[in-house]
Amino acid sequence: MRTSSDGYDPKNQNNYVHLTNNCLQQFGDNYSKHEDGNTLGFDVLHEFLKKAFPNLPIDMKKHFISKMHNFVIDTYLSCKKSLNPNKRKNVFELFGYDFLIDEDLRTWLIEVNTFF
Amino acid sequence: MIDDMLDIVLDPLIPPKNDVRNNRQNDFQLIYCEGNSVYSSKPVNLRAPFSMSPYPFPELDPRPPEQRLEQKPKTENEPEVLKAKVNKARAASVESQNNESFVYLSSVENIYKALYAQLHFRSDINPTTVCSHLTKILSILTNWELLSDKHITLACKSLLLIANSAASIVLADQNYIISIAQLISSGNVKLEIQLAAVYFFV
Repeated sequence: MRTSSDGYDPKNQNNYVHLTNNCLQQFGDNYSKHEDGNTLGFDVLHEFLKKAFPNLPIDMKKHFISKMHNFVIDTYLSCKKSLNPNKRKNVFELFGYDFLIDEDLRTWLIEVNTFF
Repeated sequence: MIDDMLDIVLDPLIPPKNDVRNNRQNDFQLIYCEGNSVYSSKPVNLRAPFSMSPYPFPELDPRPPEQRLEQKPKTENEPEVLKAKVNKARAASVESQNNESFVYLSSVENIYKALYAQLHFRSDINPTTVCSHLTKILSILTNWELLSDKHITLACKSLLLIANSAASIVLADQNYIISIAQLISSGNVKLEIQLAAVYFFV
């Protein structure tokens, strides 16, 4: 889980509160000030959500990971014909998925990046 | 995870002297796979139904209940049961099956065996069944890079089996002609498959 270098507030003039991408945050003055590498584990998010929503039986795998699986399958199916265009065997391709969890605990797909 | 990736790219070409795969934990989860691939003989599809609410908890859904399209579960266990049923149906749908008397064929071997039995030991040929098998074979051959060499050979043999039988009449279907022509004309298809496709036409 990526975090920004400053508390989020739409009125905050610090541009580093809006995008949590590591490639941008690393240039901020407050990088790693709050969390090492502005990164937190899923277990920390789970603990935070349990405190924020004490009445909800939050299960990370059931309520978030499974939603992410849906997006991964959908995006794969949308582009599978253009993957491995030369039909090479014994190859793999890595994809980086960016997700967002909103205040209603909905999971959103932001973007998918490919790595060669 | 690096070891798993090396399994994909290196081990098929340079087999490891000390195979430690059995003692290693699998860090991957297979969430989608078409049948007959090297990863799974059966299709896998863990996608939840599209009717599932984007809100994991109905309490957080601001929409009035009448505007929610999804079915509201009656019990706690019901969504899991429903999801399991839908997943099973969706996994089955990955294999484009439309014959009522269709017996699930989990591998290329079974398709070949079923074709062999039907074309050699039966006096009547059911063109619908042959078409179903042919569609699968062509789908398999189109995605040949996911198959082992053994399965590619079997798929080619299945193609030749149809070509050498009275069932070759199914070739009159324009879709099959286009699919086979694409296999032949593609520069990325294995030569063995193209030879089988050429023989299929001849």
